[in-house]
Amino acid sequence: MMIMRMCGYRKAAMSISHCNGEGFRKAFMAGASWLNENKEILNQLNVFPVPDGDTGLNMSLTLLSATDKLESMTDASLKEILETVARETLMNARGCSGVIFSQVIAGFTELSYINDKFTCFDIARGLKLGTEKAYKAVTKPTEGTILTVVKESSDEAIKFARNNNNILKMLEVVLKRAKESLDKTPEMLPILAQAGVVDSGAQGFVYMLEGILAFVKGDNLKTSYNLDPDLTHNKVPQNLEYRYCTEFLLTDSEEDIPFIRKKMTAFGDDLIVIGSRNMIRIHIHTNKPEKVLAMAHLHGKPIQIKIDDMQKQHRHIINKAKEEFNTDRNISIIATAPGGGIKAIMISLGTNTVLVGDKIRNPSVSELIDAIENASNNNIILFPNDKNIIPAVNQASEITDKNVKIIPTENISQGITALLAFKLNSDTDENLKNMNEAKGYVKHGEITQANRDAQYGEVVVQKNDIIGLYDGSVRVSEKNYSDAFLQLIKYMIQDDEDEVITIYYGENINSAEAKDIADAVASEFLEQDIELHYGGQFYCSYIISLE
Amino acid sequence: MRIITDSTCDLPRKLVEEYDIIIVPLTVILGSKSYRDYYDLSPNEFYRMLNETEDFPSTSQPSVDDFLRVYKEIGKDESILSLHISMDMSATPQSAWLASQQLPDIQIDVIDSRTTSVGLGLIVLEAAKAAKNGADDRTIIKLVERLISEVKVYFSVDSLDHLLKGGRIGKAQALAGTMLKIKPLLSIEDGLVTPVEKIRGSRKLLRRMREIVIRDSTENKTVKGAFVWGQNEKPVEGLSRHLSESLNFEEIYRNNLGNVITSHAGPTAFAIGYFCEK
Repeated sequence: MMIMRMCGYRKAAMSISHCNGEGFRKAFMAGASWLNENKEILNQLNVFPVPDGDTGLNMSLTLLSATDKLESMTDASLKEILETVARETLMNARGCSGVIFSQVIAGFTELSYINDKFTCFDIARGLKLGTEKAYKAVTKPTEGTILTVVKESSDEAIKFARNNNNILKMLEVVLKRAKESLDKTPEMLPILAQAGVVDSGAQGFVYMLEGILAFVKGDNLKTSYNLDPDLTHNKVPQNLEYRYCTEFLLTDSEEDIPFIRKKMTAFGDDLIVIGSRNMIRIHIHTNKPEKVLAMAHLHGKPIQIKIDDMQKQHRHIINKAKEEFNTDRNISIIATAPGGGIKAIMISLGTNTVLVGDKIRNPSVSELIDAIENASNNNIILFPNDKNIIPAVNQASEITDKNVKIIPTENISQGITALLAFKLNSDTDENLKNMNEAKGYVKHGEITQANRDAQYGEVVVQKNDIIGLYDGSVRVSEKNYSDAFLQLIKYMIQDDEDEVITIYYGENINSAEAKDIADAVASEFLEQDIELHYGGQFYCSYIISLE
Repeated sequence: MRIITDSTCDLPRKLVEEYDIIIVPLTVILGSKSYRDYYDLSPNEFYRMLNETEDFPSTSQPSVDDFLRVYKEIGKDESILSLHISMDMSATPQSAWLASQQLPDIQIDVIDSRTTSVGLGLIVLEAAKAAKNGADDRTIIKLVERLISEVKVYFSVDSLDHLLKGGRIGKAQALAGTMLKIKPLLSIEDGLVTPVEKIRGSRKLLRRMREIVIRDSTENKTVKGAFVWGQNEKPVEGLSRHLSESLNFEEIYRNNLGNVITSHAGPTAFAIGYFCEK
């Protein structure tokens, strides 16, 4: 917990109706110091425009050099102080919020008549002019950010200053309005609501105001937030006003940037137009990308055209309560798995629905049909992952009206390898081809305990022996698990293309046992990487995939 | 024409000096300290520090002032081409652009390369070579435009953690959360990290990288390539050797990853950048 301490000279410097240079200097430093103390929180709030967690750092660095300079300017006039702050924040502005903040400060320097002190109305006007500058400076003014909060704060300040001249009171009403505005940012910017946060830059501005007000009142402030750092991960918006993110580079244009910006404004929002005359980069969110490009063609040559469907891209939310796991695509993948551990692995690899059989039976045709009918897409890819389930899968696909493609995976090793070959940006035919091909690149083995005496070709098995199967046939029979593992893997390995051994242990095996087996395998097969996972299958003790 | 870039280009110092390239450093922050990329901290020192700490590094773009100083130093006598890391990965081009807007008397073209690291490095190097050979501004800009669309970058990392935590994972977000250990084969496509394939095993990964470069090469034309890597040069050595054996491959340079790229990709990253000679 951090506490900011304020000293006692505020009353002399900032009387109720006026603020001189010294008052502004101290108040600014107090605001900057409070913002700096809270920069970690700002970093964590940062999800927009790029969730890279650096807003706090950027804002704090934007202010740092100004406060350094102010430290020694004890006898400076208000005008000198304003000029110093405006210059230093502009030169050191970092990040969107930093740039916007520097423009707000720059607004105060536009009050050319100011020399030695501020009244309420001057402060309100400075804030208003700063707001206008900020909106002009960014090519993409987005509401629900620091811009909105600054604008509403300046409106409130103007309203107050028309009839009053009490700086303390004004700061109180402005801060109240700023906080209300801050609380509304998630409503205005859906990405914030999805992440459950307020806008980080706007919060930074509120900290600045809080720090200033606390200075004027002589209060101590304490940080009270305790944010979950994982709060903002994996959460992106779904309902978008504009569906297509369209970006391109306009070359060979005779027009300048303001002209192009004007032409593009009507087509959507989040418009960014930057660059130089022979290379203008345009970014816009729009519902009519073809019209945007047609317009661009009239004024130059658009190259590096990129159009993304954000509605598809942004369905990222992992909702574990739902039976179907959403991913970014128009195909649903349905699979069966022999156990709960393998189901979790398949979902982590992008499967939407995984059916798990129980001890005595595999998923039925009607369960498969239910899964197909409940899938959110009409295009389905189905992995049986078991030779014995292929007939049921075929039957289910014939009954449903949906477009079902089956990858005839005969075991779970094939299923997982085929799933890994699925690519988001490939079309269905190419994916089907790649997945069908990939399933041939993995070898599947099983290890389990024999429940009766038997003979398979050359291999003689006694009840309770540990047997190893490769490709469905019994190949080894040993008295203990580790011998069975070593013999079976030796039988399966052919060349150095076989470089990863994955072991999935079943429901009847405890994890310590499985760990010992994996260690024994690792010390024998030095050329291969060994991975051990809980598979949870009932029908055998261990599954081995070799690829 | 003078070529300016940022420190994410990961070009070897020898080439930077030979072709009079000016590099504006980004800053790396680890723990409570910040270091200018390449200037304050060598890559090897940085890898060592990363291995000894639980902290994840972060980075910060150069300020507008940093660019103003560099642009002003060059002055009006020479035109400037300021070529930078993708705007979708860093606000560096924004700082450069804001600075250029404040200097209307100097001819400055700020270009977003839509790539970074070895991709940016190759484009910058070709532009600087052309400038040194006396090519005019328009020719250099045309060359840069062509290379932006032709230079390819493929890379891999042992873990996606750094890309995730630094917020630069781009479209490879789709690979995060995978419970099996995969070797992600990644590329930079129009400014963003993009997943190419999920591969099991490092030998298969190198084989796929090789196959992709060979697929992209046109018959008899030289493929010009460069490599960067963090702690482990071994995959780069294998890849370079195999490519030289199987096609007309010219290795232009290889270099350690700089601290900014390492901060976001992690010390296990390695990459190849290349383009086909016309």
